[in-house]
Amino acid sequence: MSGYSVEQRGAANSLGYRLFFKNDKGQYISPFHDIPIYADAGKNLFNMVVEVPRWTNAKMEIATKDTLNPIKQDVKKGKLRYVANVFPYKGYIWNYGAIPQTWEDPGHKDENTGCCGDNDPIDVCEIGSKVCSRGEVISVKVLGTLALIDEGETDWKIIVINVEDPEAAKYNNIDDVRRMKPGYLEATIDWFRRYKVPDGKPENQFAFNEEFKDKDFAIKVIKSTHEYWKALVTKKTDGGEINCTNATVSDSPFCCTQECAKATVEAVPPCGVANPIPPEVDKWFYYQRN
Amino acid sequence: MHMELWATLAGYGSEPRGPPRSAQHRLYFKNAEGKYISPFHDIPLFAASEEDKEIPAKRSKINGSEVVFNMVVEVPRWTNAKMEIATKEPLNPIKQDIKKGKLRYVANIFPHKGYIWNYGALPQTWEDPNHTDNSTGCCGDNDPIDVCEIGSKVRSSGEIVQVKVLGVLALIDEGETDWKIIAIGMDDPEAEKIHDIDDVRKHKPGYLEATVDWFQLYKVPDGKPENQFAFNGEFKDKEFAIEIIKSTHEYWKALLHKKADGGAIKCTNVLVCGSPFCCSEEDARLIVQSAPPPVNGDPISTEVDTWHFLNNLGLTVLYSFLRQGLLQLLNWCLYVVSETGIVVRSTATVQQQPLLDSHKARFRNWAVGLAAAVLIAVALRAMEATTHSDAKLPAHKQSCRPDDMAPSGSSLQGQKFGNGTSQAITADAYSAAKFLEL
Repeated sequence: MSGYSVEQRGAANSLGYRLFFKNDKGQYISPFHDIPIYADAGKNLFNMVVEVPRWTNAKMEIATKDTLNPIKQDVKKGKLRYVANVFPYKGYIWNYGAIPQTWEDPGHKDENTGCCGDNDPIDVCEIGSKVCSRGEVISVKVLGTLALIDEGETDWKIIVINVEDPEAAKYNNIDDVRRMKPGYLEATIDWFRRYKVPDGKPENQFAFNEEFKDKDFAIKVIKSTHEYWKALVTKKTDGGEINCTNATVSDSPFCCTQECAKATVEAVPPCGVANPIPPEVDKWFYYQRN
Repeated sequence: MHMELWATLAGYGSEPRGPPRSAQHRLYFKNAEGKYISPFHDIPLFAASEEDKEIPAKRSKINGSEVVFNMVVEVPRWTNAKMEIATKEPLNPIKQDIKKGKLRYVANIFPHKGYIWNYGALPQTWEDPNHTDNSTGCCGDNDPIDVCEIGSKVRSSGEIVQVKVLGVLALIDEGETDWKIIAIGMDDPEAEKIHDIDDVRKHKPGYLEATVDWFQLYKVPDGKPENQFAFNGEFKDKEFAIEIIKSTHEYWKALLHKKADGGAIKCTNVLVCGSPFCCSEEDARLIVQSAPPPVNGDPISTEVDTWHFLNNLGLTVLYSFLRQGLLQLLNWCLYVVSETGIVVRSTATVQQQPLLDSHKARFRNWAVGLAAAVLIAVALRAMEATTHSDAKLPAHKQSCRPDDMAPSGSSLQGQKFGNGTSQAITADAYSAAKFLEL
């Protein structure tokens, strides 16, 4: 068990919804900066912050520009964003989230993709059986990665499995996924390629001819984004609007006190009754091949 | 007819009893007047419009060129709990199916999540188990006829929806006829564009293929074999579907007027005039009140969330071909056995040698045919057992005519996808299927 917990503010499915994080001592922390990247560095096990549970649609993300980086729902054109159901899929097809203490630096052009980073922590698709909860922090094994080029920005998608998954011991590299969950990797590419088409965006593209790179490659990518993050949080890189406020990163000039953290959380209206999800979110989009 | 008009009709309500997601949970139905009714017997099969409320509901109603039916929603799209009209309980509330003492949740067969349409039944219909269907060669499954409602909206369990029928799929589920009517809610934004099964192909490419895939595979994680279909897994059109519905409506009428034996089916109803099973409002209320009061439920077990990825491609294709071959051989052997038989001339006392040889030859054919059939059947059962754990197909479920046992749906549909029958289907495959059909 990770020992982390969440505190909801505002109502679910509303603009005011925020999910703040606390560590096992009950201190408010940032899920971006204060949760260690490694669950166990020796075993190459990473922490993952779950933003979107499998089969849900609400586009939840770590708010990189807000103090203490709570999870909130993405807003586009003034409206709460829900990812479309692109037939045959329902919502997201994995537990989706991020690895803390990583950052895809937009100031850096990635040599593999030829594109700049998307200014966010690195994204993770967790392929285990369990549907995780929003805000859950889990330990994961890295299996491989996909190099998505989402609207022209580098957007690595790390493929991982929850260490607590009953079959986790059988998964050690990307080929194990191919073998034991046939079709899942193909579906993953298909999903990322098309998921924005119902919103009027074009299909996305991939580097490496849409191939998944293996575990070792993925771990290298994660480590490089960890270095970018270190530079960010120690002010060696200019993060622009990124909010680097944190509670526990000792050599960071952005470290804040618990009183400050508490004040930030309490400034947000308290937890309320959830709004219903709009029924148009249930629509299934049938992609017409041009 | 305008969408809004359909939306204000019905006026039916439901009353939950017992904790949700429990064996005691029941959803009883009430009509617009607040009377407790049976969703099986008291909701008219044919939907009445605002204009025709004076017309008896049982009369067929055609609006423009469309016949509109009432549908009872049992399972909302994308959920897993197997909810059904309880045909063996008085007033037939909706309850969750129980198998082997456990609440039943349908598996998620990758890439699908739960049921992929709003699923339910047409009231006042009954697939009579005493009748062998001409098309499928199998007996009815003893339930109202099933409907897959393909509109955008995710509906609620217990909802009554006015739908138009688009076509039908002839599933043979564990050896019983199990028609799946394809329909769309009249209130769906696309209802005005979708009138027949070809329109579904056009506006929702891949959906019909996914439907066949789903029904073929949905019981495999429970250790059952893949299901089969009549008509090679093809969808029949609207006219055919309406004929099927009408015949199941006739079976139901016979049931309610005690002309057919329903066995354990409860025909208790409140509104069917002339039915010996009609009961009073007061009796109906007592039935509902004897059920436990509504309370909060327990959360669903996380096992329900497992995504099942079925057997790998190579083995499945091999298995599929082998199985198909063996079944064809079995058909032939059974044909030989049935056609050959032993003919004994009761009148002839003196057997001529050529006649005796002919009898011997026929007997030999018959014996060989029978022995081969037995061996093949054993081999098939062994294959089922090794591929799926606990695969037990009870003998009485194999009562279809031999020539209908050809796995019409499986390999053909597999070929449409370009994959093996149990391969996880990607969206590319669905798009390919759409392309092939055009």
